[in-house]
Amino acid sequence: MDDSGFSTMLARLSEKSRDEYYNPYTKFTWPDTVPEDQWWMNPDYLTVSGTVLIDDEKTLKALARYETVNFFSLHVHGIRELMIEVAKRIHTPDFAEYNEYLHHFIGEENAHMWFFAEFCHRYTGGIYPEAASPLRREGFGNLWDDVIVFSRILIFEEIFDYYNSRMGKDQLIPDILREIHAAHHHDESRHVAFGKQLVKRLYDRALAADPDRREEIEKYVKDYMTYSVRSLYNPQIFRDCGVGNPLAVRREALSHPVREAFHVKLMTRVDRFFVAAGIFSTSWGTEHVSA
Amino acid sequence: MSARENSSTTSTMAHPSMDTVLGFLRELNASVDTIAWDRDLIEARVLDSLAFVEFLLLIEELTGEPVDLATTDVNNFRTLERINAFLTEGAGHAHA
Repeated sequence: MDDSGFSTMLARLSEKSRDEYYNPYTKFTWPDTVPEDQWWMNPDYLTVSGTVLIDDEKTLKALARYETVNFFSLHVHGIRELMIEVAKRIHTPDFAEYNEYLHHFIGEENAHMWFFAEFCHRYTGGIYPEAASPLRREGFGNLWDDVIVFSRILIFEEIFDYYNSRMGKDQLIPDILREIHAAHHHDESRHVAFGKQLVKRLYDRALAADPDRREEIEKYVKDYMTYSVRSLYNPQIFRDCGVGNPLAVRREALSHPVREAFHVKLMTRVDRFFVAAGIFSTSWGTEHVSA
Repeated sequence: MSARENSSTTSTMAHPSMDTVLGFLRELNASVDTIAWDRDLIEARVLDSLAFVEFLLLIEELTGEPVDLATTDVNNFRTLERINAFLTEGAGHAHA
């Protein structure tokens, strides 16, 4: 499974990772406090944006703080899973040609995990726990599991990059938050480029070996996209900002037509990739949008 | 099909919230309307690990109590019969 185009891309991404390497532990100047009367997240990106479910500015600003913690917590938990899965595969025969870049990948993700958690621990009560399912994740056989793992990583990275790329230059939010979003966006553009090429190659390999599971995989990946959208609406953020009947507010926000249109927009890039790569026969946006 | 009709194969009366539960599960897999109430929902591919988190939130909304998996057996949610018992008897009585 090697071709010169992919090898060239890997070499280029590795070189960029070396050239742009930074020490995450000294990169940021952490302020003593982050003012709570400032917007920690632009209100346009809140889960209730466009719904009028919450219209009081004080509550919305509190929600922006808790959504920031949720957003960073999702990063921390997602990165942990990502690192476990990549660590299982690095220096194994099937992933030998990716070793060099996977070292950069793990190193950069480790840095991201640290600064997201560091923010939450310095300025809030820490990260939210993972909303883990008590059921073991479905297995699809080794080759398809590789596709699932890296598809999950790609979806996760694309969702967060949507926000990071925008909030990384948003003057409304505190400097430290803008700097964290910008740093993550800078590294993730390389990871997404790598992830798309890798998922396509892993998919072609699995499909050739076991074509009967194609529809099952498409359904799982689409369900994972829906699951990821829902994870942004952590019920705890609504409880913590003090709204009455938090589960009902969450449910109404999730199914609000304005939010559903936003979910499609949020997923557009990765949805298009899955369709173009032949992994989806129809787009997620046309059938799974009702999160 | 209502929960009461669907539960005709069981001797237990269906809790009023079972219609909401069945509506949620139907969105995941329409076969829930025809499966036996003692059939494992995970083995029947109605519920999976991705949908389970959302399903527990639905149960929380219906009962008004958070579902603490440290003290509540996950098996309480694996069949329609057990879910009905959980809703009827409450978490305090439905531990495995």
